[in-house]
Amino acid sequence: MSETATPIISTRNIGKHFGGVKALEGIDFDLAEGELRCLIGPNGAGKSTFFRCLTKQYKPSTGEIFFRGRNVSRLKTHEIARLGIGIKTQVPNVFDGLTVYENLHLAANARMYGAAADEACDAAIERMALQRIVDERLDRLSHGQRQWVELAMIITSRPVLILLDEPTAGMTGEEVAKTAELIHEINRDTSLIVVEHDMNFVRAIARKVTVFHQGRIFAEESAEEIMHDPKIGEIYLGKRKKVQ
Amino acid sequence: MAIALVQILNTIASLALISVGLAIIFGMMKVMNFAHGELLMLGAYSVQTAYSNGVNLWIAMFVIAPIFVGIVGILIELLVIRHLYGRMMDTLLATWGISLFITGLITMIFGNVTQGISTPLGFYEIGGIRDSAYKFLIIGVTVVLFAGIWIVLKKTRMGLIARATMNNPGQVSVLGVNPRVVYTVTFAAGAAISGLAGAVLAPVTGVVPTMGAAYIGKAFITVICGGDAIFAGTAIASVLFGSINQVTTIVSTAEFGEVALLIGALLMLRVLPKGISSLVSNRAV
Repeated sequence: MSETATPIISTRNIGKHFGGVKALEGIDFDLAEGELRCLIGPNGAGKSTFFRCLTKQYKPSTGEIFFRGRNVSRLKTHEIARLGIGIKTQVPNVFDGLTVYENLHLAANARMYGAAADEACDAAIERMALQRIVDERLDRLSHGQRQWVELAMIITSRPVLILLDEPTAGMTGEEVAKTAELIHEINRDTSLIVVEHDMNFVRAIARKVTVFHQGRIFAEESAEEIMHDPKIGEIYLGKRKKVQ
Repeated sequence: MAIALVQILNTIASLALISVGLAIIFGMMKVMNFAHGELLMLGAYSVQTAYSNGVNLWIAMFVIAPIFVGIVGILIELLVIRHLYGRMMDTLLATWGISLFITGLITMIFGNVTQGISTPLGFYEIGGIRDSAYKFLIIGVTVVLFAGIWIVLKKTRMGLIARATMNNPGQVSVLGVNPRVVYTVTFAAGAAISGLAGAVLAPVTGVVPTMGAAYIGKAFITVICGGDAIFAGTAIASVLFGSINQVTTIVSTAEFGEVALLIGALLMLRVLPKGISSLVSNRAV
């Protein structure tokens, strides 16, 4: 998907405070249509909080959010989702009491009805090779399988922007490679923001990387520049060292 | 024997009818609704009032009562329950207060007297023994109601969204569903079904402001013993306890029937702490 000048999502001065703790402060962020951006940073840097602010699972303490130029700061979580923003959180956030197919159908129903929803489910099952577990309840699946089901749910809902929070957590090397491939495929027609710690994975999928540190944007550079920036190594490891 | 079978089926159906609304509100939403008996009572008063004012009995029973009690359910959810989700003890106290309020209000309006609707449909006779044919209507309504609820929960988009919301309310909003609306609709549906149950049972029980107290204990026993699979669990618990109750009643007295039901429930929870649902398929609803 080619990138255009109009950002699909922008934030201006987004901040989130939990009591006296400033988890995010003064975040100005732009993502172009069709762009795939990675967010990196040490634990507690504010990446996941930023995601939750974008989807309004957290109400930002300050600032505004714009979706394709429209101010969406006052919308609720379900209204943000209806704009076509999908999120996959660190811990698979699925419906344990429902089967894989029911989970997918639920995701499909967010943006389509009837036969179109059925087709979207069938396509996701085939694309993610879930045929063997389609009738299983989610609480009977392994962590990796639950991750795949959640990814499949996002694909099924056909969003225009996907937020992925550590999509490869707990996956095997083979699954990580498959996920990188899948993300490239999704990016053909969908914008993505991906939070990830694995720099090899980041380098494999992203051109541009935003670095979070202590609730602020620390740097915004290409993946290659980030890899060789000694300051980034310093904030990750507490000393001057290149990111491996 | 045939009469006894009809009586057993009638007891099972009555137990299922008084429990199914609670199964939706308590089983699905985890709202400890102590005003459940009063929702049944409001259903009974709806049909009694509408019928005595010239409305056709079946319209009063199957249309007016569920709609009226459903609207009461919406008001209760919006004004009280909505502010107490996740606080089970507070919900219990609040709904107990609502039950006292509704009982007091109805007593003030209608007086503390038993009113009655003559039982329609006449009698049937087997082997020289006559019994009310209305029992067949109660059994039929229960079967249709349970079939309808199963279809809605398992086969419709609305049912899938309701089950998902009860399972993980935070995640459904990420999928574009407004959980508040789902909660209100689910509570209203549970209330409407309770209203329908109260209306259907009104011709055989009599209508009095305190009639809810007679239902609430049995309904909670049935739903709790049913377990997590609210639909299958409630259905099986109704069959089990209804049979125990009626068989004991036939061989002894109605009082012993009630005692047998209670003992059966205690034994069941001792043997199956998670209720009957632990024995059924994990895909049952």
